[in-house]
Amino acid sequence: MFFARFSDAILGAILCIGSLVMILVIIPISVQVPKSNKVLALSPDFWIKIIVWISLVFGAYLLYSGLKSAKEQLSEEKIADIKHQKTLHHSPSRSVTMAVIAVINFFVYYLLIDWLGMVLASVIAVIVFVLMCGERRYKIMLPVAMILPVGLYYFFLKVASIPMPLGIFY
Amino acid sequence: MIENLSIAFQLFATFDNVAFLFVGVLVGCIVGAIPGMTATMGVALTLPFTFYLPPVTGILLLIGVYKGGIYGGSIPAILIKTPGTPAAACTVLDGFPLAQKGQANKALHMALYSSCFADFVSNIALIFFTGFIASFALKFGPPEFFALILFSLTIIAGVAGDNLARGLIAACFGLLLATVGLDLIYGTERMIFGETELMGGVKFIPVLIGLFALPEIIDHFTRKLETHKKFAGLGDEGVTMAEWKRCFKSVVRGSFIGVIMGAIPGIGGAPSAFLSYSEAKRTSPNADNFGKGELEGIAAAEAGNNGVCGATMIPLLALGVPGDVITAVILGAFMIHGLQPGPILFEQNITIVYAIFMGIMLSSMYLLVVGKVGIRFFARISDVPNSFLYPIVLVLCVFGCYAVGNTMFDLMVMFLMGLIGYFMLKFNVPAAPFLIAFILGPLLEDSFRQSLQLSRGSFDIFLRNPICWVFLSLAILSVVMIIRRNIKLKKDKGLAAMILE
Repeated sequence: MFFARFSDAILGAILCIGSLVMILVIIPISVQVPKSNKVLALSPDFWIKIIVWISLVFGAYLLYSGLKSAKEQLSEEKIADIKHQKTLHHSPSRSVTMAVIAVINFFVYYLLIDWLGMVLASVIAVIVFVLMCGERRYKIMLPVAMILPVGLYYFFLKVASIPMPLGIFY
Repeated sequence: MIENLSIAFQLFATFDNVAFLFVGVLVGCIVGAIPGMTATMGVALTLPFTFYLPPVTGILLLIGVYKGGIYGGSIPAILIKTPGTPAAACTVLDGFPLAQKGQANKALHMALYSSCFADFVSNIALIFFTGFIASFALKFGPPEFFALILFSLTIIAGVAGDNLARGLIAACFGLLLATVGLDLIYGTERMIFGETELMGGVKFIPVLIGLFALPEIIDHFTRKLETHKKFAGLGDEGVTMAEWKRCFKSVVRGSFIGVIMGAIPGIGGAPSAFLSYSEAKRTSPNADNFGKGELEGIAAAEAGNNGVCGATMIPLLALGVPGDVITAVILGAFMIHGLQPGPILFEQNITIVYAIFMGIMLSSMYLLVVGKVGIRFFARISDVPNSFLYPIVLVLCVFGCYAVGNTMFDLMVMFLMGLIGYFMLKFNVPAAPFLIAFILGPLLEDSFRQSLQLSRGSFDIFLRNPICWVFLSLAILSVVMIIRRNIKLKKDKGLAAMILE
């Protein structure tokens, strides 16, 4: 309920902070403006600044309207939607844990590709992710985990002539 | 003209084109039939496979996936009350009740026939109107293009979700990401932080796949294990000629609604299907049966959402402005193959345009054949459990993303975009305006700065031409209308809450 009530305000605050960081830090540091430029509107940072200022305005609007609407009672429709989402998803703490585990697994998968190569890393990834989904039918899981990466590897190698990384097996 | 057509026919009539288009329609139907997979995801995952194909073949493959995907979405909508694509949501209303009565086969056939008919009408509209609009757009210079793209962005951002601010915020994110790389005029660095891979800008495919496929995968892991929905059976009854004749008026009306709504950037298939459905319900003598398994309801909904398919390509091919997120992906495919849709494409590569038109016409026929032969097979596909589907999609994403750039950096960008996309999903920030703005961003900035170069920094240039006036006025009008709609929506909700109390 807290997230549903304050999601607008949280998003607005993130946007405001992000926009200010962009204007005060990131743009001055990372956008090179040539000294020869005489027309402000043609400067490399002009367009970026316009976009960031618009984001800041929307962020401020969202923060204001989000704080205002957070004081009001949630509509029946919104409560029904939250209840529906609860029936679909795990508890909030478990959902966050699962999402974090999924993201960590993505990055482990990324590192494994570099080390073990695309095929073996993908075989492991399929098995891990299928298990994470609660699936225990090994007779389907293992052939899928083997055939898909090997098939894709040969498709890209033979048909499109694109070598995939093989890691330590190279 | 005849010579161009003859060259275009030679360009089109190759085994590869005909075969890949067929494969595209087949893959699209399969993707659409899988609950949880959208036509957008299908097109996004197919895109890397087109990279090493000739432009016409690659684009026809994507168009095939698009058309097949939109039709395929109706299959799980009818069988298990789970629309395969958002556009098929309306088909559920009458499709599922009919399937419960043991007439799923009849419902699927009606969906197929009306989809093919509407698709054909939409293709004809595409062929007739695109050239005309493109010839008008030849008069456009940088200021006119700036005004046009700005108008397209406001309308797309506005209709992408139920909250204008969130849509525009998403568009701002997309525009901002598009600025990364070397400056267009001075060649100086912009937000690349010493990373040489970013000098050419953030690549399109990692952003696309990361934004549209990975958030769904992450979200799937936060869901409870679903009990898999099974359908009762197809039944043997098909559509009779009398039934087709009875529904024909609604199919024709739905097709035209689809064409009109599809040609306006940002509207998409779902609103068109609902409008077509409500019009059919309003005028039908069987209005009371709507929602209880009325065949005419399925026909109207499917004609409405498939009528959009060809028409969304009108602004894409004529002006270089995508009509929806799928055509935005196809625009990206054009760019990857070194082609820029719009009037210049008609001027310099008319034979490619004609060859694509020929393929598009053939795709309607393929849809009929593939749909007719494969109905029972596609019906089985909606049984694929998500526990296998999402890990398979993840591996397809990784292979596809790596294949395009041959660099691990693209994979990192894809995973980061997936993370950003997941946060956007949780905060209800729509991904479609982000992607469209990301694609149109460089064109918008380019035309903006070219205009200012022409005028030596004077903003008057945007108000000197009546075409600019028209598009800028339309942009302001669309923002005002969307704001008014949102205010009205809030008032209606407040009123409903008061009545409930």
